[in-house]
Amino acid sequence: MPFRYEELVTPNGRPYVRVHVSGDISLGDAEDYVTRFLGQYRGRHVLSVVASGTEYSAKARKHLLSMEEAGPHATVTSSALVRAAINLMTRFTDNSKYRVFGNEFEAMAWLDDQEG
Amino acid sequence: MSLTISQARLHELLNVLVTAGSGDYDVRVRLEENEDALLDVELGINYLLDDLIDRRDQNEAQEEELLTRARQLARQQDELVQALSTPVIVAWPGVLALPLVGRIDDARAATITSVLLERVAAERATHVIVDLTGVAAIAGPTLPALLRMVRAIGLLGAQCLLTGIRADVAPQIVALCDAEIHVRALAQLSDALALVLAEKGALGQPHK
Repeated sequence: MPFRYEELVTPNGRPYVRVHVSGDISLGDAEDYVTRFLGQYRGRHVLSVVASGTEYSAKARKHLLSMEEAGPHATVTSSALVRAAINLMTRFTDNSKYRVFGNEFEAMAWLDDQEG
Repeated sequence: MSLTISQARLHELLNVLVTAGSGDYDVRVRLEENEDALLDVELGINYLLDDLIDRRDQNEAQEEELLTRARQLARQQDELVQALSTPVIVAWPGVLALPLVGRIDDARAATITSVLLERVAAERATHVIVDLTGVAAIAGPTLPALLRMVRAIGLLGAQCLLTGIRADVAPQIVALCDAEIHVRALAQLSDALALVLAEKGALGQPHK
């Protein structure tokens, strides 16, 4: 599975969902992701760690745009390609809720600072 | 913000754009982990090409669906036209009437013959009245085909009566008829029906 979910708590005690992302993401994967974050994880803070080489299909990219109701998303990746992909996907969305980081420490600090 | 772009990446980008412009959307920009803004542009072009392929596939699927629907409608129309072009009526038990309307060409004559002979056999018809009142024109080689149909009806044991023959068609029939074809002609369909019913002794009797 390209997405692996963990329910954790930040150093400041805020619950969040950590998502490990890798591989090729299909429309079905994207649908499952959106369903979770508009359903059981609605409003929950998200830390997604995206591996190098992760690729989003065209249909998956479009479907992931329907995440406007979800909580703040911090993405961590060391890949310039993944960063470019997320930049393109979130270009016309509410930028205050999405941020891409190069390391997990900064991402966690930003996420902990976001309103619940 | 300034950006230094290598000639090779720019060349690659232009090649992809020109190739896509010629209709080949399968081409893609080769991507590398370059930490610069041009990477977003390169990836954006690849995403755009993905979308173009997706739209093309959707269009092709819709086109195929429309073609299938058009073929289905054409087949239904053919069936309807065929049904309307050969309106065989059971005027009385054993008596079939076929009021023909419009132009009769070879193909239609063949259809009429086929349908009518089938009905003659199925209904065990003794008489067939073919009314030509509504026939606007009979194509040159079609009249012999209709006369062959009359002969075939005779071979099935039924008698054929022609009604509503137009003045310009009558000489053609005379010229084509040989001694083996016995065509009884009457002015109107009602005349033929009255004659047949009289022959069957059915006039003045309730229909059973």
